[in-house]
Amino acid sequence: MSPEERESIINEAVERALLAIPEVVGNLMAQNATYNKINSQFYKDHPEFKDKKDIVVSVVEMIDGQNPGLEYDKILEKALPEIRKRIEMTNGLNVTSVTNPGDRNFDNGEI
Amino acid sequence: MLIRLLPNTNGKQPSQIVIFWETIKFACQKADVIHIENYQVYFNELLHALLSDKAQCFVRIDDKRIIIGILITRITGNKVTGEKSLRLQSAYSFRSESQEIWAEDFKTILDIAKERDCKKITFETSNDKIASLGESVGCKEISRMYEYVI
Repeated sequence: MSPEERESIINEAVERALLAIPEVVGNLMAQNATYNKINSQFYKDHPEFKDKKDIVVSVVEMIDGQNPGLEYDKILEKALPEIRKRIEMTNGLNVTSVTNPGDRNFDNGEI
Repeated sequence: MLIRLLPNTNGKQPSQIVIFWETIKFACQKADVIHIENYQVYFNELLHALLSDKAQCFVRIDDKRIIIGILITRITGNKVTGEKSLRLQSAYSFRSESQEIWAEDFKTILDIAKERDCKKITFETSNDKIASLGESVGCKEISRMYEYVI
């Protein structure tokens, strides 16, 4: 391959990549807008989760990981019972201070 | 003997992570030397990571079934190679243990890492004793971390 041919291929590839950028960015923005809309609706439907966003994010990430390819609205739907369970489970747990090692008797926590 | 604390139950009993949360917090605070102003962010992330299996908690118990050691691990992935590693995040012992006990625990963790398809076990430390324990079970130092405070 001559240097001119090589240069021509590179230029063509660069041009095509540059032309694809608006479409890629457009798709990402559209996807982002859809996620934002679904999220807003989710918190509107479940105002009790507004102060528990860290729990919602953590559970949604977990459900997403367990269900690759599942649509986002379906993931949120699937996450609902687990979010409620997690809120109930962690209600009252202290995450702001450390005082003592607590009860270390393993039998008290054996399932 | 190392035992993994279960993040979730069948709903009849609370999670073992929740039951031993105060112990876990105490051990991590000792092992990682977390500043008080960072407690909320650190412990919130840790709690939910443990409950979601993004992090795992193991305990060592003595013959009276009292927790005498805590180990927090995470499975991480290399974005370039795709290889998984098991990272030892925090380790704390409520009493001094022999090198043999640590080696036995490492063997258990090695088996878990293999089961989870991890290619490496990694940890960071600035503690010479921990580094020496790691080397005694075959770990190799791969880098040193430096920082420049601005």
